[in-house]
Amino acid sequence: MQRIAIWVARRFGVDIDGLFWDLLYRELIRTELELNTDNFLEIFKRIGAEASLGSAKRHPTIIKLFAPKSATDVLGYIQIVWATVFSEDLHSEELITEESEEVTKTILKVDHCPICHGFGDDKEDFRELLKETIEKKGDGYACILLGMIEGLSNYIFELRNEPYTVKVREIECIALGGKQLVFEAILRKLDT
Amino acid sequence: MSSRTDLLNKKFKVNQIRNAVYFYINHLKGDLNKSKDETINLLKIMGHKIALTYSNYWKPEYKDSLDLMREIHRTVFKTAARVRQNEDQISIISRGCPLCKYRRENIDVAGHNIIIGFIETFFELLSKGDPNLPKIKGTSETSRIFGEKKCHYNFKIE
Repeated sequence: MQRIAIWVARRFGVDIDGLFWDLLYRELIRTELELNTDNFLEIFKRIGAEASLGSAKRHPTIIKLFAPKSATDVLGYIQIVWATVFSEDLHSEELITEESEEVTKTILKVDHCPICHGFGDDKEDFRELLKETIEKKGDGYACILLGMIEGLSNYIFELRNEPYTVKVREIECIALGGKQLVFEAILRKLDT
Repeated sequence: MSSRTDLLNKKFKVNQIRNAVYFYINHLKGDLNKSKDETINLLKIMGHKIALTYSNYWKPEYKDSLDLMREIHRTVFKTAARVRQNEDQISIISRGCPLCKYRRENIDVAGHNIIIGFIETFFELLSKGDPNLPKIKGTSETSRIFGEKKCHYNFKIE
């Protein structure tokens, strides 16, 4: 079923050149970091969430029908966002999954991150600014993308009336000198 | 280690990043109190910076200004825009503008100002090696984001 959701997303999506997409993402980050030294991370997550919601809300039936069947399948949500944005499957390795009654924590490793692709090769890149801002707040360059994953997941929970919320945080970032993209997703059961 | 060359000619979906641009415009105006002109300027600077990096990876082949304009829209924006020249102005009409697809409420700045900034700078950079290529300055006329059927932007030849 999830393959169908990915197929639909790809079919209805509009293409743009990958390099332009990558640099537009960079410029959203740069512009905000130069203007706002305070709550930039919250803004990035919010922009990401609103961006994925904008698309998901146009196709609620498709989302409801084809999204992962289990609320705790965090990897399933991540795969949908990844395939929808990058037109390619997510090749990841699950490092840790810890499950308790209230919280499911998943840590994923992704060797190939299109967002960090070549970051630092050009003089318009801004690794030092990233280190002084996003890294200090405990996240990474993919924060808008992770906001998209949070937004889509939480929307699906809402659609299905499931009492969960998810938070995603980058713990290793290629743009910040890491070897791969590593992020953790924490799924929390809400009190009902 | 991968390089940005691998991303050139790869197709990504623009839907989510287009939404992100829309929400970012709202953030600039609503949360950061930027005026319409300041917001347009910030979007054009984004396009300018994109072009500075993009030009390191793509050297287009073209016959003249209009051909280059078409080639940019085809290759970068994956759309066939209508390109016309009238005296000292190049006019672009695009039904498939990637950054302005849907009508949005409460917005008076089009996302395609990023595209305008990109094209202005891309022309300027190429003109250093091609004296026949003019310097151009772009302005947005209409946008699908305001409910119009097409996006329309002009470039004045300086």
